[in-house]
Amino acid sequence: MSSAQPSLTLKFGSNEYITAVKNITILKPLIQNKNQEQELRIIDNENVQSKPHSTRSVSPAVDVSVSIIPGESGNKLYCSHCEELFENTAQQRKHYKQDWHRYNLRLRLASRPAITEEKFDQLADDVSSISGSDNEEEEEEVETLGFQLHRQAKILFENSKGQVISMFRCLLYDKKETQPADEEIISLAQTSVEDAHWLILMLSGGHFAAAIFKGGEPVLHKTFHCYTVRAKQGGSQSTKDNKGNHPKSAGASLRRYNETALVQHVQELLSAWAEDIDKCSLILYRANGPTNRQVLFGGKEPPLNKVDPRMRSIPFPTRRPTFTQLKYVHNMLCTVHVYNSVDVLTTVVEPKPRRDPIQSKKSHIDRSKSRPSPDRQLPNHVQELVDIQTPSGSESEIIHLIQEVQEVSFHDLKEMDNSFENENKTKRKMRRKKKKLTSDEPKQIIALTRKLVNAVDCPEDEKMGDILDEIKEACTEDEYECLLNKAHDSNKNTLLHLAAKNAHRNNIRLLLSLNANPCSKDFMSRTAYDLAPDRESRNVFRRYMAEFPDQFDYSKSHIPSPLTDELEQDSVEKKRIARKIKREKDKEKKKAEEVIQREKNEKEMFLKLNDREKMALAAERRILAASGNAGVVLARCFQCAGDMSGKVPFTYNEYRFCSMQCLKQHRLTHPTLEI
Amino acid sequence: MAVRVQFENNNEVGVFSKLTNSYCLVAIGGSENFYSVFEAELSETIPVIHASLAGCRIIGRMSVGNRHGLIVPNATTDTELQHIRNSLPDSVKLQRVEERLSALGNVIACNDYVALVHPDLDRETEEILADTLNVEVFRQTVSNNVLVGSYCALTNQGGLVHPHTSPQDQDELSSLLQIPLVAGTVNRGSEVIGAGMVVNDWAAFCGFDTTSTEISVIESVFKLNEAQPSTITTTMRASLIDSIA
Repeated sequence: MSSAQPSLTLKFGSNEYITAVKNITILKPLIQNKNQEQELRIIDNENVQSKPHSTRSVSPAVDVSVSIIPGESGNKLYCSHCEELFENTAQQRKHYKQDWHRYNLRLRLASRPAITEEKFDQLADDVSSISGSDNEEEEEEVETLGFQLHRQAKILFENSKGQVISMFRCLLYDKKETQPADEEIISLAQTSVEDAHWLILMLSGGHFAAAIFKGGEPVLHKTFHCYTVRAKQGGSQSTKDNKGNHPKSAGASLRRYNETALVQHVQELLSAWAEDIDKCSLILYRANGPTNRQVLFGGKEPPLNKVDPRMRSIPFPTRRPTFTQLKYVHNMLCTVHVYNSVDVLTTVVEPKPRRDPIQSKKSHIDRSKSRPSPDRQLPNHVQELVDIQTPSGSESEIIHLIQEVQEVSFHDLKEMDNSFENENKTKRKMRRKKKKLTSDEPKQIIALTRKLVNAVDCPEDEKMGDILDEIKEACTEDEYECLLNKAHDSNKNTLLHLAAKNAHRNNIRLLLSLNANPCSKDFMSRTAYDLAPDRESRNVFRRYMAEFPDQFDYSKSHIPSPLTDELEQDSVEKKRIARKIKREKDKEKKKAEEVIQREKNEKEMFLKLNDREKMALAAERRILAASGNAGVVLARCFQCAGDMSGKVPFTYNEYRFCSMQCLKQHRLTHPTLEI
Repeated sequence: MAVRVQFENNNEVGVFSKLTNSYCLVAIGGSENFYSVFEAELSETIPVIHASLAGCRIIGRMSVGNRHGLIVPNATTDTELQHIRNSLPDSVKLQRVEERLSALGNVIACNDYVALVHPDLDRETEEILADTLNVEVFRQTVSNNVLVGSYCALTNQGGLVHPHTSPQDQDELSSLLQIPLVAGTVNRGSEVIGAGMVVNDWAAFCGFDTTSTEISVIESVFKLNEAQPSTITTTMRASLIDSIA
């Protein structure tokens, strides 16, 4: 690094400078690849040594070696990238698959000279793979000082003492214009110092600073600031406005006003300085973006001429336009570095890390590849656990598990007791009960029960009462009631169900009176009432309900309402009336139908007649009507036979029609008729 | 015959279609005009298939193929792959590749025998290419452009390359590919040949803007005037097989 430092720093225009720039030649900047470092360095040295005699111009990049191409001499079997000739096609094809060719291809794309096969072989020993897919890590370009200086827009000279002089290129010529010849540049470097009279302008973000320097000292200067940049959001007000959104806030209008004011101020100032500016040899400016450039070069009478040959932009980044910054810029531009020997230019300069190294590393993560998981600290609570366990683990390997039996009482937790039972539970209970019964009951009762069921189930037999009595004698009160209400077959039918199903009205009533519950349901959750096939047996239930409304809770028995004699009487009366009304309606309907039918018949008859008969009939009808016979259809349409008495008919040839449609139709069907 | 065609007012027909000697893929567009032009010209000889790749219509730039096979990028969905598989002739191999440079049509140019590829193409892709398409693969540039697929159009008869290709480069390439090459343009001076036209051994389709001069260059270099589909199996096959052997 120490050799990269300039040995001497001069001021542009100073006497030392003038002596230094005597007998100078231009030097070319260089870039090189790490892999070729050694090679190129040798070449560079050769180049540098031969420089004084060469008249090569300064070119920004290394020019790709342009040798005489043998391909031009007619041989097509040639690879232009590797500069290799082939004897036959097979050889050529083989060559295109070599790594060497690929490498040269990539060098060519990077505008670097190709390397020979031997050199490539040397390289290949160092580099494991150079396939296309392995180029993810960018080849690091190692910069020599010479190239770095070139990138900083500096121009390099070598004087007769072998010293290298570097200065800003913009002081000599404008990079935008065609580059002058070497001699011209050299003469510029030697002569331009005599009238170092510069205007430096900086304009950015509403800040403006300008100064005229003469011989290193500011002669005139002015800075001012207008509030034009939108606070927090950034950007100028005009760019925001140009995006289509035109805010109407006070701040926005203030900034808009200030923008125009800034332009005005700058233009006024520059016109006031016009005489001094004319004397300047260089105008260096910084005005980034269209807004800022508009201020300097825009408008009807631009304060500065854009195509002025003295116009140069400041070739390095600057900070906010202030007077100190202007002085800094001037100082930077004036500084000329002198290096003791040309070798300095080829020394490798460590490129400054442009970004935070950690950040740049992050951006290079290749997510398609697996990568080792980073060592992270354990989370706090896990760490604590580890800390606790380690000592205990070291003391004894055995882990003690302690079991304790505790009795927990739930007796106090009655508050949330569920009042209605689970259905499953009840089912289970019932089954258990049934089993108990079947096991405990004497055989006599079982036999009787079967007999009873059979009796009830039989459609005709109604001698259940006797069997019931027998059973009642045989068993206790509880058992008797249970027997009445229990399910007697697989469909969970009780005695009442069976009786209802078979429409045994007496049995139903008897069972109900014996306290057989009408609410008990069968397997399809139908009550006995639902099973009753006819009205009369249903009415037995309803009547019983009317008689003993308090015996059962009828709400779940599906019995709709109690039925008394009065109610029955009412309903019978209602029905009778309804039937009567219906009969009358039917009569009326019949009458109407008759009328329609008669009309229809008449129509048909009319349609069957030919036109002459129709006319005759019409006349007949008129006579009838005149004689005062009402209810006779006076006139009919000749086409559709519709009634049109009282209407004004559409007529042609004495034919009368109810509508134009009928008339048209008639005419179409009688084409021969003359009108 | 070279036919002028447009895809929804766009002249870059090579972007929206893929034409080979054994099949033709056409992007699914708003109207069937584009498809029907291909259908009218090709339906007697090869299947013309409506297709999309990864839901995109730029199928010509995303896929690469020839008579032997078709290679599609990894983003192609299973349904699309199934549809293409069902529509392609059975002899055509279909392969999906995992490649960083996913616009395969831009980075690979091929005919039935050779392929030029982007210098940075993955080695695995190169192998798949050689196996699926039965081609010899060369890493090369076309007038210093790495997007070889965009800047040239190749058939077994000839090839059209970027207009700035130097005569030496043309000689070099044509000796490598064993076909005559011509530097030219399509679509009234567009240098993206591959995107501006599609071509096989007997038919070519180029954008509406293509001038008659350009058409005549295309017809002569690809030998479209004398070519008929039937000649592939007779005269052309003999010559082609000779050159390969």
